[in-house]
Amino acid sequence: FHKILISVMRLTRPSLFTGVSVTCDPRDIPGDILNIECKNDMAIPQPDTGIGQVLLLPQSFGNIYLGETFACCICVHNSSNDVVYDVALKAILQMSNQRVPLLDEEENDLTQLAPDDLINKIIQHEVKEIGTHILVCAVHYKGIGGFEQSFRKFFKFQVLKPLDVKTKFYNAESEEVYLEAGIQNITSGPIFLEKVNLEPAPSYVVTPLNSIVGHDSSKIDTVFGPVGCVNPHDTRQYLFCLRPGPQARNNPSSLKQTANIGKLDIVWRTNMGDKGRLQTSQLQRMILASQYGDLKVMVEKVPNVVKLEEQFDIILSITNISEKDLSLHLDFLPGGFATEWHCASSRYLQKLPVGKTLTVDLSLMPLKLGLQTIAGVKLTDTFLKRSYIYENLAQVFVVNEITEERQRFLSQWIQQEV
Amino acid sequence: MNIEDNILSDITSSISHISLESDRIYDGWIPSESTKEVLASIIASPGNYKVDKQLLVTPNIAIKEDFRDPIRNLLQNYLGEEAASQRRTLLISSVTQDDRGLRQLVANGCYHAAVNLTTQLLTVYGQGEKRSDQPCKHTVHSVQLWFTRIALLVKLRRFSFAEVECEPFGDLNSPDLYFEFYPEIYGGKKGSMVPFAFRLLAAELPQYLGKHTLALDRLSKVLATCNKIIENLMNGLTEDGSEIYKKEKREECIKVWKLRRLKVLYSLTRCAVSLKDFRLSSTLLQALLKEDKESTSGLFSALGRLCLNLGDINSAQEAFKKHLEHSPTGGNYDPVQGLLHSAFISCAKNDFGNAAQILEQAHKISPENPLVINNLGVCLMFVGKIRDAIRVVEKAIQARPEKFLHEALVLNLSTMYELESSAAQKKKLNLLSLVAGHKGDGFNIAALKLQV
Repeated sequence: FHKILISVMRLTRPSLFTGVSVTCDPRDIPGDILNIECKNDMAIPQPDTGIGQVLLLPQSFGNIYLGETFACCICVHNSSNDVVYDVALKAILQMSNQRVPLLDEEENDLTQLAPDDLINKIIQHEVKEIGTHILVCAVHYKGIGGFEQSFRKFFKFQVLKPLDVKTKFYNAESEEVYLEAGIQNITSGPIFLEKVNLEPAPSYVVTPLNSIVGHDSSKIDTVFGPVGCVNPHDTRQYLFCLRPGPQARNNPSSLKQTANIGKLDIVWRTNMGDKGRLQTSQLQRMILASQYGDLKVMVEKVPNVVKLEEQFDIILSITNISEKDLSLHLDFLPGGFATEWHCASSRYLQKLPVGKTLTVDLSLMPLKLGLQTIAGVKLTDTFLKRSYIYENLAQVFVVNEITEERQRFLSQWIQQEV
Repeated sequence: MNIEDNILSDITSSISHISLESDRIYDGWIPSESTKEVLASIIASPGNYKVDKQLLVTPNIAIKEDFRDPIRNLLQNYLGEEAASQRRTLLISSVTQDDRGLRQLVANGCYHAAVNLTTQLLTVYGQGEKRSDQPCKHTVHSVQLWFTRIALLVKLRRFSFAEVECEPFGDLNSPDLYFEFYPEIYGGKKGSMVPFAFRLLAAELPQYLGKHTLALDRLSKVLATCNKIIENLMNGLTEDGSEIYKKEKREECIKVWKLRRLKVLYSLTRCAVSLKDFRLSSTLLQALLKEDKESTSGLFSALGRLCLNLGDINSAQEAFKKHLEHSPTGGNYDPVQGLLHSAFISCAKNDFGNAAQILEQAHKISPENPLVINNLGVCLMFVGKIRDAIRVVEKAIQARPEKFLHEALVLNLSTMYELESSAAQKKKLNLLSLVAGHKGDGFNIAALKLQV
C-alpha cells in the first residue's frame, strides 16, 4: 500500500449559499422563534433577499467550457508513520494531440514529507480545446528503506462549447460593410457578456454600434439594457460598421482580394466572475462580383437636402480595380420618377487605366417631395461587353423650402456621421 | 388536550375578542366569488345549508411513521450503540403536549420531534392519517398546527412531504377556512382563519421542488390581494370591500397590510433569485429600494452580490459603493461588511490571495463573526493553504460549537477534510460527535458528508 495519497478537487468558483428562510407573525404558534433564528443565521441575509453572503466550496465537478480556466487543488499527503523523501509531484493535462505540463519546474523540486505533512498546489490552465481532457497527477517518492515508489492518478473530463456565433454581412451603398454578429449562449446557465469586440483585418476600420451615446459623445449605456444577462439558448446581436481604412484607400484592389473582415474577441463571465475568453477565426464575407468586381463606384459629393424642381449636381468617382485598362460607357437606369437626370443620358467615358479613378459630374432634377433615392447608373465594359449596375446610388431629401434648421435636421437622416 | 378543549378555548377567545379590533386586523382577506356565495348562504340559513364537499379542505398527515433523530442514527451507524445512547436531545416525552411544548422543541432546534408532536396534536383534531373521507372541522388552532408543521418540514428541507400535506389546502380560500363557516362556534365573526404566514409559505413552497414559475404565480396572486385590501382600506372600506370601515384602527390595519405586502415582495425576490432570473431579481430589488427605505444599504449590498452571481463585476462595485454611501457613518459604522464586499470583488477577479488578506483584516476587527471565518477559510483553500483554512474553521468550531456549528461551516470543513487526507472519516466523525453534543435533531446532517 502507498504511504502517499493524492487527492484532487476542481476549484470552480465558490458559490454564494443561502439558507431556507421561514418566518411568521409573533401571534402564530412558533412565536418569534423562527424569526429570531432567521435573523441570527449567517446564511440568511438581512434584508432577506435570498442573495447569500456565505461562500461555499465546490461540491461537484460541474461543467467546463472552451475559453474558461481550469483550476484545481492538489494535495499530496503522507498518511504513513514514517518520513518520506524526495517527493516529486508532476501534473499534466492531456488532450487529443498535446500534453501540457501544469506545474512549473521549481514546483517539481524534491521535498521531504514528515508523517501527516502535505504538499498543497493550485493549478490554473486556460482551456483551449474542446473534447476529452485527462488530468494526470504523478507522484514519485522514496521510503525509509530507500525503495522508490511512484503512482499516477487520472481524472477525465469533457470540455464543451460555450457559444455559438452566427454572422451576417450587409453591404451599404457607400463602401461600408455592416456586420451583424449573433452570439448564442449554449452553456447550462446565464452568462454575462463583458466584452465583444471586432478586431478588424488590416484594410478595415471598425466602429462598434452597440452603445447609447450621449450628446457629448460619452457612452451612457449599451443597447442591451442595465442587466447584461444572456440566458441559456438566448442570442444577443452585435452590430459593427466597417469601412476601408487608410491602407485600403491607397490600394483599392487590396479590398477586392481579401475576404477577411476581422476576428471577434469575446469575453464573458459567469458565477463569481469566472472568466471565459474566445476569439473567432477570421470572419469572411462573400464577395459579390458586382460589388467589388473590377470597378469601384462611389458617390463623392451629393447634397443632403435639395429644393423641389431645382437642379442639383452629384459627383461620381469610378475606380478601376481590375487588372487591365477599361473603356466604359455610362447609361442612366430607367425607373427613377422622383429625380430625373438632367444631362446627357448616355455617354462614353475616357479610357480608365488600371488603379486610376475618374470623376463624372452629373445633374439631376428633383420632381417629388420627400426622401428620394437617386436612380442608378449602368457602366458597360465596351471591350468585354460586361455591365456593372449600381442601382441605389444615394438619397436626397426634397423639400419646398430649404432652411438651415431643416438642412441640419434632415442631414442626420441622410448621412449618419459614423 | 382534546378537541373539545380546543374548541372551547376558541369559543371563549372569540367571544372575548368579538368586540376588540386587535384580532380583526390580522384576519382580513378577500374570499373568492364561490366562497363568498357559500358563506352568504350559510349566514342566511345557518345549520340548514349543505355544502359541496369538493369545496372543502380535508388535509391529512402523509408521513407514516414518526421521525427518528437522524443524528442518533448516524451515531449508531458509525460510532456504535454506546455513543448513540449518550445522545441527549429533546423528545416529545420531554415536553408538554401542547403549543408550549411545541415552542420548546422548536427553540431547541428539535424540528423532527416538533413535527412528531404536531402529528399527535392534529390526530386529536381528527386530522391524522387515513381520515380523508371524513369531513373536518377546522379551527384557528388546528390551522395554526398545520402551518407550524409544514413550516418545520420546509426548514427540514423535507419538501416533498411539505408539498403533499399542503396540497389539500388548495389556495387557502375554501369556505371552511373562514369564521363565517362556523356560526355556532364563532358567532358573527368574519374573516379568514389562515395565518398570513401560511399563505406565504404555501405560495413559496413550489420553488423548493423546482417549480419556480408556479411559486411566482402564487406569490403574485397574494400580492394582488394585498394591494386590493390596501386599496379598500384606504377608501374607507373593510378589507374585502364589502362594508364601510370607519374605525380609528383602520390606520393600524393599513400599516399591517403594508408590512405584509413588503414581505410578499421579499418572497418574490427570493424566488426570482433562486430561479437565477437576473432581470426579474434586479427589477424586484429596484422596487424594494423604493418601498423599504429602512433597508437601503442592505439592499444595495444584495444588489452587488446579485451582480457577482451573474459575473458583472463593474455593476457589483457600483452597488457596493452605494451601500457605503447609505451606511451609517462615524461611530456606528461597521467596516466588516465593506471588507466582505472587497473580498468578494477580489474573488471575482480571481485574486483569492488578496481576498484572504482582506478577510484576515476583518477577522482581527471581528474575531467572532461566522461569515468572516467561513469566507476566510474558503479563500485560503483557493490559494493552496489548506492547513490554514482548516485551522481557522476548526478553531472557531471547537471554541464555540454552539455558535459556529452552522451547516455551511460544517459542509466546508467536511469538504476540506476530504481533500486533506485519508483521516477525513475520523475527523468528520469528530465533527459528528460535536454536533451530537450541541445541536437538536433539526441539524442538516448532509453537511457532514457521511453516507447515511
